[in-house]
Amino acid sequence: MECKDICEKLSDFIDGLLAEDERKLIQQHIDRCEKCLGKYKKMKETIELLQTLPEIKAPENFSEGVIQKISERQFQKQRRLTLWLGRFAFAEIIVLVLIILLNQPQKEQIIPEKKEVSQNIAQSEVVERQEAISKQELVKKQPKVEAPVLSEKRIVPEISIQLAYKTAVAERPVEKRLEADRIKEIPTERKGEPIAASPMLKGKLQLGSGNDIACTLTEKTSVESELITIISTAKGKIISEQTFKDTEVSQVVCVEIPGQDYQDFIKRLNESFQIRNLPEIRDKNFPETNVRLKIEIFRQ
Amino acid sequence: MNKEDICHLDDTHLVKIVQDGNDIAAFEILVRRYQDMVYNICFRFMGQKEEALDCSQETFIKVYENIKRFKHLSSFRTWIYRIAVNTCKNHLSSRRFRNQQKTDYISEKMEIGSSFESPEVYFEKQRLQKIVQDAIDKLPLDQKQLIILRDIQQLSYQEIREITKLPEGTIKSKISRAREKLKELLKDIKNGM
Repeated sequence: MECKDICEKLSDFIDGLLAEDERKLIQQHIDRCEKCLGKYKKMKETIELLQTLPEIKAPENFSEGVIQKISERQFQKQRRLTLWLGRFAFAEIIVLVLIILLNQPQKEQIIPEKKEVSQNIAQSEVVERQEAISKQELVKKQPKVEAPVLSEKRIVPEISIQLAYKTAVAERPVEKRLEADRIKEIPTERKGEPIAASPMLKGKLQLGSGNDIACTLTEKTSVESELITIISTAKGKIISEQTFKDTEVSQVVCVEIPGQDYQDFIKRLNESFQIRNLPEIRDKNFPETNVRLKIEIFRQ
Repeated sequence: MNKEDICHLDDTHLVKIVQDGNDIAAFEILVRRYQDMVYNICFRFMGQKEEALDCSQETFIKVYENIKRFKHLSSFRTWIYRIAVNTCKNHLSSRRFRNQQKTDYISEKMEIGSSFESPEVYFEKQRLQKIVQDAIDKLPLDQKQLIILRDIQQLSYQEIREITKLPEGTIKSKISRAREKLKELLKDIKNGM
């Protein structure tokens, strides 16, 4: 074994890692080779130098410091987790906001349309107002057209006439009495129409006990034919009819009569009924005006 | 569980207590048991006390965080050694540490000086220790770790193999080369530490 081989195995020799035969060979070589012996001694001294390095003790409170650091790490991890969760929640909010914002353009597209519609409405309202104003101006400029006599004439404030039958009609059939109960107010569309025989006036009319103008019903059959005939002869129209049950006044008929025909109307009415009262018409324009009469027919 | 009740337990039992319930008291006992060993090896790796303190604390934090992965296939001591060596090697590999200069070796040694020594002897020892530490620091990292484990910590080759996961032949050859290098670096020093 040469010195070079010996030097390579000196470390293992010192550590006792070599087999017995190999160890003996190296030991014999070192005993007779001063150069290798010197290298051996130097390496052994170096190892001993390293082994004699003092053991350095950890600082005081080292373990407490480690435990504190572990607690801090755990706290930081928890905080990071919380922050991460917070960021996640924030990101969710951002996503929700983005979703809302992404849907926003559709609404914005609708809003201008609404604005346009509202603007159009406003513009149309302005146009309508302008048209209305111009129409009013046109109407003002247009000459007045003569209206029908009855509707155009001024109306004397309604006067009330109380009528009663001259002859008792208690013997009238019951069914005819009941029919009278169905009489209601004349529908609006009938107002002003030519007066025809109205079934609503069918029924039993009884004489009242008034002491004003008295009209006498000459025939027992019905009141309507008699009254309607009188009204139509006077060129009047029925405004409304009302029938009452179990009251002193059995029927109320509102009529409008041309003022010029009023005297004839009263005269004819007086022939058929007992007029209990006849109010005086004091309107200065009478008989140029229409007269609105509220005729109350009393029970017998 | 009280510290008094568990302080007499061996490593295996203490580790199981920590594994079962992250018992910090049991872990603190393990820290106290191994703190000097870990701090010493970290100091030999890093050459200065602040870095040694950081590395040793980091070592125990890693031990705590990974203790549930410890399967008791090796001794707890060997496992801590492995973590400490890897932590120090990672620190030394970092560019930050490479640019730093060691300044506190003497002040560190002051703390361990014997009160029975004369000042001359004490300071001579400090000087020699610094020369040796400087020589160790000049070794390549793979040789440095083996010299620390074998010649300073005086671990067996079996333990070194378990810690470094290196083949025994590689360990032997690297230790041999490291010793040759240190022999050259320290040829003018007489062993008087």
